[in-house]
Amino acid sequence: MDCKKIQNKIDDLVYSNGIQLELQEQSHLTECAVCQNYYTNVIETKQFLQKIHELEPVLDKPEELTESIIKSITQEQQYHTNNKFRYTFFTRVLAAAVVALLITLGIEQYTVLNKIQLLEVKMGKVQHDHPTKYLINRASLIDIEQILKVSENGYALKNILTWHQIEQFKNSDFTFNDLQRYNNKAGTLNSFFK
Amino acid sequence: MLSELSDIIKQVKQGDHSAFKILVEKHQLYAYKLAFRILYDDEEAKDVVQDSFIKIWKNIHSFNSKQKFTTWMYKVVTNTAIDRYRTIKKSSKVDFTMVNEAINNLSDKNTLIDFENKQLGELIKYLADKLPEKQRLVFVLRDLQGMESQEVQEILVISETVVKSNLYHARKTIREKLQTLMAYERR
Repeated sequence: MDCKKIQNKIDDLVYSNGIQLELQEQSHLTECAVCQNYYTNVIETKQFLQKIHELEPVLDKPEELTESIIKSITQEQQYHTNNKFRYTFFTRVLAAAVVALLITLGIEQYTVLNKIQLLEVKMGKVQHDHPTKYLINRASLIDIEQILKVSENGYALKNILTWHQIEQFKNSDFTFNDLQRYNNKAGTLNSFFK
Repeated sequence: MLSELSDIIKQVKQGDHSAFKILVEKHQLYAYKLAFRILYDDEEAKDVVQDSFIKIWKNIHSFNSKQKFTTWMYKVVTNTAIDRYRTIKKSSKVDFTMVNEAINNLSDKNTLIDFENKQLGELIKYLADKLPEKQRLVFVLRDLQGMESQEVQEILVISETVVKSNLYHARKTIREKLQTLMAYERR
């Protein structure tokens, strides 16, 4: 018979109720000194542990521990209440600050936008009231460099602004000679204006 | 007058301090014994009981009344004690003089057992301190605290097989330690 197997069963036998050794195992236990010794050890250990289990640790002055626990939770609650108050106060202050900041930025934005709008209106009026005059007075703005010679008789414009200026120039009473006086490169424009 | 535990817990859930005081008075000794058996130290155990009850106060709303309150409380105490044990573990040393005295007292059948906390603490420390954490906890809950296997499973959130296996190994180690010590005493 396997001693290891018997010893495992001894543990169950000693610590659990309702477990019994079979006849063959019982006869092994009566004959095998090793298993007998093991059995005695397990019994002794169990009895020893039982004694330790019965030794209750003593709580001296339990009322002091109770008081200390109640005091702790009261303090905890007080701290929690204070924190809640602080949290509410700071949240409100923060909300007020955000609203104030939004109002300030809004006013600022409104002022700037309003100024831009007024400027645009003014500028618009200038162009619509005196378009030709405006262009004639700034004939030199026509940048000859903006007109490219792409073939013998063909020209292309670098940008739409130049094209717009030339269109307006053609409709004005400002002559090409006047333009030549402003820019000696204007000769290249002859074919374009014809 | 609040008498039923369920009534007391209802009141505690509503923030009643006096009901909580009754709850503490009823259960602090059980909590202390468990904490002491895990930590082997009176002051540490008291601190753990205090921390545990603060946790219980804060989390009482999460307690399900279908559960057994003591099992829930033991779970809180065990977890708090384990955390504390992990921080103090390195500094713990066994006082062998006290262990020997304790063994002698326990072995003498004629002596009326009159143990001080310190002596008992050193004895449990000697027996359980070197065990792996799970074995130690299963041993403390099952053999020293005398809990049923089912309750141990619930507290440590482990299966019955794990409880059995850990308990088997813990008892084996403790038996060997005791045998060595007793053989030394008999010489």
